[in-house]
Amino acid sequence: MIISDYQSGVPATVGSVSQALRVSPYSDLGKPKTQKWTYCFSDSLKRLMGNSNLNTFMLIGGEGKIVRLQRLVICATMATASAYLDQGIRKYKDFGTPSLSTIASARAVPLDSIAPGPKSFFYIATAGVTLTNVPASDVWTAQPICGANQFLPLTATPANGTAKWDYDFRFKDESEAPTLRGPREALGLYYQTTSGNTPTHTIWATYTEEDA
Amino acid sequence: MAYVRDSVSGIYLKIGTVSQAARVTLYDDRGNAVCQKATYAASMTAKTTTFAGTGVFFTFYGSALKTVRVQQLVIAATVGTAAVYGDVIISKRTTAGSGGTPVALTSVPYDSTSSAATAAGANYYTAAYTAGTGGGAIASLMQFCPVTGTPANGPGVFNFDWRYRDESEAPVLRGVAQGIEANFGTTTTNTPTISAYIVWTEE
Repeated sequence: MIISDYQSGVPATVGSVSQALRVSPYSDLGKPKTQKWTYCFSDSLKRLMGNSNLNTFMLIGGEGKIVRLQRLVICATMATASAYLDQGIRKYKDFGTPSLSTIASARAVPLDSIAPGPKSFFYIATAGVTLTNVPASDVWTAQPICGANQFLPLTATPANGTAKWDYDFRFKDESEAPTLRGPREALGLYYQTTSGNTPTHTIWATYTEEDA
Repeated sequence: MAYVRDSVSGIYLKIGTVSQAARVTLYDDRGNAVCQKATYAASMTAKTTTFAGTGVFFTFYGSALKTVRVQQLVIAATVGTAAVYGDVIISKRTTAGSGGTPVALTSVPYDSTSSAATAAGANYYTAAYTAGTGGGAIASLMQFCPVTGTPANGPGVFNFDWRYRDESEAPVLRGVAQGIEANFGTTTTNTPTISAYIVWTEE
């Protein structure tokens, strides 16, 4: 018996060495649970960041793409006084377009050189700047999906380990990663409690893109 | 009784005699096998003093014969005279750099039945390598790096781990001109002592 697709006629392949049938796992919702084009974003050095409870770092979805945040790793120290700070990620359904002129925007690097260019955007608010412009109609505004308190030591007098937030959505049996559908959906990183001085961050974000 | 077989090769699907389970291999929608592959590692044999500054101190480049996926890179660091918060940056390059004073690491297969590694391999540098071009920064971590000569705290451990993933992929190197590089984004101002190892697969 030869298995083939009813419509396209494409036959299933059995490995010549493994004698195993090729299969791709899908969820009951029809979503592929396999590897996709993957992109990483990182700064080229640690950087002074905004310390507001508005957003300091954002991932904006891409036109025609479904974007899934797989992992976000932040390491941080603090300028003038060590602190316990609670950092979190918010999810936006209708973010709009960041309009501040002083923010830095960037696209991520594909982890495979044959991958198409990424469609999503990152925005980073440097010290003293925050990312706003959330439409009033966005009922999801200020809806955190995760957050944790960490100790941030002093930047200039190294004596302790840095704060490290590792938001890792890669391990999925039944849960899924935070998903952005189109350029109006976004994820924002922020401090839940505003501090009086400026954190220094490294940022490492990993996400996948697939056709919508 | 029906048998499943490949229409091109004629290979029959195998059913386990004990498990009574059909063999399957996971593939992604792009045609890549998502399963264990021949795995290799290369490690420094002793912690080594390198150089201060922001130059590239570790490189790993790909293979002319195989697709290489970088699974993990671990770097541990202390510094010479004054503790720092060191920021290690990993960049993916599509054109190789040059120069520096390299020390080549031996590529070791995890399984003795694997063929020899074909990747150009890993090097650390006692004088900075000139960075390659293309690509860009793909990962960064900041860690506390204590003073080498007065041990009191753990070293800075920079663990860049791409092994655990359902939907994302590891950095892929296609050809000898593609590689990853490590440098400090901000100078440590005094000399770091590093140890490092890297794990990759070839297919």
